[in-house]
Amino acid sequence: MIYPLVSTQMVAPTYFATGNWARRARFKSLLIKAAGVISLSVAVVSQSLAAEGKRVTITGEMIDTWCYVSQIMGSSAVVTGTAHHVCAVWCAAGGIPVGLLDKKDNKVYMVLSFEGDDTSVANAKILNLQSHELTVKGTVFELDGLSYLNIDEVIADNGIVNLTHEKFGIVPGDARP
Amino acid sequence: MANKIKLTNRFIRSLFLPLIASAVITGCATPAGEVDVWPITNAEKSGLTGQVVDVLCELNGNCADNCGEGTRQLGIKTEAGGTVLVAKNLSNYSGAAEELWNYCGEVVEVNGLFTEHQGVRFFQAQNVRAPDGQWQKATRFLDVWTERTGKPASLAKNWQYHDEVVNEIIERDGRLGLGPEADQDYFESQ
Repeated sequence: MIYPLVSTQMVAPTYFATGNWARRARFKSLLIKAAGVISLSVAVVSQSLAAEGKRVTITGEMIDTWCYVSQIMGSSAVVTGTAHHVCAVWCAAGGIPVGLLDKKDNKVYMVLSFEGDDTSVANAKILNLQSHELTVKGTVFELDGLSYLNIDEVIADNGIVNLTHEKFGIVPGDARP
Repeated sequence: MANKIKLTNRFIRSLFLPLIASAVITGCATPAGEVDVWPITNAEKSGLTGQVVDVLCELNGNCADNCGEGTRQLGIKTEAGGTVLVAKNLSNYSGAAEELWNYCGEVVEVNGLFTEHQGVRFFQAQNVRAPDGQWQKATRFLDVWTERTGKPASLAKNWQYHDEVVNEIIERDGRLGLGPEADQDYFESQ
């Protein structure tokens, strides 16, 4: 929603005091044009931000976003780490978006590219890093409420450190031998 | 304490697995075009009409032919202007790229469920209506998997057990991801 910088309530009473309908029409037209210019500017700025992205360094776990967000197999805590490793591999191999779960604030970044490879469906390198805790450098783009991440470089791979199986067992049960 | 945790685990499994199984089975039984409500967080039955887009291309102009032909995450750019990430299809453990890329750049209709948690909101497509107007269940992934692997179509429904790439990773890293020895210790103790 774009709001005009000057409200009609502030300006209109004196401007329309004469009852000049031609002026009123011109004023309305001016407002519509102003709103259009502002909308266009906002759109251009948004597009520009989306195109440039923001450089970041993030430490977090590579997760299966479907199970984490939908919680179809239990709470988000259950569907991370060792308890959910097999399912995380299945889902990544099946093409579900992989996410990086920021260790700092549990924010989920949807991974769209990895070290120059723009394959984000069943990417072989990513498959082999499911459930790992990584520190990465990359670029974050915001689009319609989601945060997307292009991983440029893995600075550290700490392996799998989230030992959730100790608390939750293996989820789902058919991931057991 | 340990017993309590094990009981809790059994409870979680006994509670959720039948729900998931029934959702998938019901989903397969539901006629094309109809949406089945899965037991997921903040499930919202919805339909979207819009252009099939490559999300990376939308973000920074890094575009590929035919939206990457199944190699990139795709979305629906709706008439209202927002791009919705389609993260899931109707088959087990699989995403939506194979369901959509054939319509790259075209306007399609999809229906299914939104799910949302911790500020992340995306879509599960259950059906896709092509420009010719026919609803198709969003299970094309299974056909593509069968064709790609050369395995019998009868295995596709539970493709995750039969996928060689997946099985190599599990064999190498173990089901916990900590190596085969850690698996052996853990599963023998169960």
